[in-house]
Amino acid sequence: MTTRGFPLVVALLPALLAGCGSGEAPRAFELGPHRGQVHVPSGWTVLDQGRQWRLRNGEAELVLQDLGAAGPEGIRSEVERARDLWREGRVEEARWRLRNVVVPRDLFPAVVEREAFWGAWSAFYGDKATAVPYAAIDPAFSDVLARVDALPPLDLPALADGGLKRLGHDQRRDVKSRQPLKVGGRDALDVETWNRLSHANPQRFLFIAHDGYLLALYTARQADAAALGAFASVRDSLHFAAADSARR
Amino acid sequence: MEGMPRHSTRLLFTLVAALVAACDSGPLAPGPSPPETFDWAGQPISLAPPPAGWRREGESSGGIRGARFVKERSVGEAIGVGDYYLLADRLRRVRLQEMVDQFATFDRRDFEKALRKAYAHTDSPFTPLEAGVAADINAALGRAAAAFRMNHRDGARTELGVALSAAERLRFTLGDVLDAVVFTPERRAEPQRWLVVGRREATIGGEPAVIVDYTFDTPERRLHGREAYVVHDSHLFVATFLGLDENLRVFDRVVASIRFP
Repeated sequence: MTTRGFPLVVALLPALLAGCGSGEAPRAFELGPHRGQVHVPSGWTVLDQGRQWRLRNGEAELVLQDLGAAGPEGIRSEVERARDLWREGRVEEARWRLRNVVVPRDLFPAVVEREAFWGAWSAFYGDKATAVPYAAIDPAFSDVLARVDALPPLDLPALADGGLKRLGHDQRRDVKSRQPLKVGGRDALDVETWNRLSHANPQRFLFIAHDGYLLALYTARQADAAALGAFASVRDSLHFAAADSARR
Repeated sequence: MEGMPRHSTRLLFTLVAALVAACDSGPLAPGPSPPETFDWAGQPISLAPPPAGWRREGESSGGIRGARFVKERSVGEAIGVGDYYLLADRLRRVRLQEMVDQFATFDRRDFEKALRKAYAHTDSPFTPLEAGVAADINAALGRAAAAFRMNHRDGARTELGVALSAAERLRFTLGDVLDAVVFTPERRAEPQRWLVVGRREATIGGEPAVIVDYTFDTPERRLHGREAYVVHDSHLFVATFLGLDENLRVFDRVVASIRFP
């Protein structure tokens, strides 16, 4: 053996390293309040369904999805947005927005607080035929916002647990691992789940919380090698626009 | 070699090989399975599953909830390990502890829903102790329900504590429960095809255990069966094997790897 091949090997190194990444140009995404860019792996197609992208390659499928407001910070944003709509006279839009806010039961330490919270919240839903002017409803918004501020903050693992439930995780599956990491400069949690009985059928989830809103990337079907490779590729390529929470 | 030390070249090619391997997302070669911790019915158990070539399935039948490993391209050989949930369901301490912990968040509907899942079984008790404990739990839960209906939350909480104390008295040993599950030909269809050939005491995961060997005559061949029974913290775990003699060692390795974390 000689060292004549040495320069060739050195020359190949950058190409080999570059081969680990994707050669595709990044694509812009806007999923609810989340905006940014992502590399779609070669051979994968994107179906844009508004608040989610479905990335497919044959039987393999990934989903990049806005899970909406999560935790007190997100609830506050949604209530504030609803207040703005009400102020503009768009009462039914405001009510629709409020109806879609998820307030987890376990945010309340006791039934007394929970019942008081929902009692205050019920002020938003009166007779649809009766027009409630903003001035009449403003105290209710102030009351609810004060109660939201009293809710305990949720950390990323707790938000991710809520996200898992919303994506169908139940007692049939167990969490195998949780790995905190940074994605696009933001705190994220990479979660692997598997069948509770057999530890088969692994699934991967990535949760990124920002400004009270949760974004998820997950394997929608069998997490085989192709799906897991694409999951890692998409995860590592995610970049966010600096002011992506400005539009909701 | 000229110009460059041989070990540097080797190091460089090793680095390149590692980079190529890092870019490849294909599966690694099969190796020994690392231990995994399962929780099928409230008691964690750690074991090293069979190696690659044994397909995994969930199992929830015959009173056992667990995992089943089926040998691929074989004659129906399988290894199973599971928690005998018909016994585990008799244990009420975890559920009652959850009720105590969540009590402050219960409204009437929550409480009644939780209560329905907390009453103890009274049919076919495994032991006289279980019958007594079940009666005590149910009496306390009845009083808790009445107190909650009267909006006497403190009274309801106190009675939950009484029920929990009763549940904590319940213990099952291997001797209490073995007869309910131990292999006998009479429990199988066509008993004449099954024959018990051995029974011995053993230790599994630091707990006393019983292992039974039997044969099963199929039209094509005779298969070997082996079942192991062990109780840990009142949970009965059953490990089963049915297959060819040559794969008994795979089963024995799985059983030897069992631990209770």
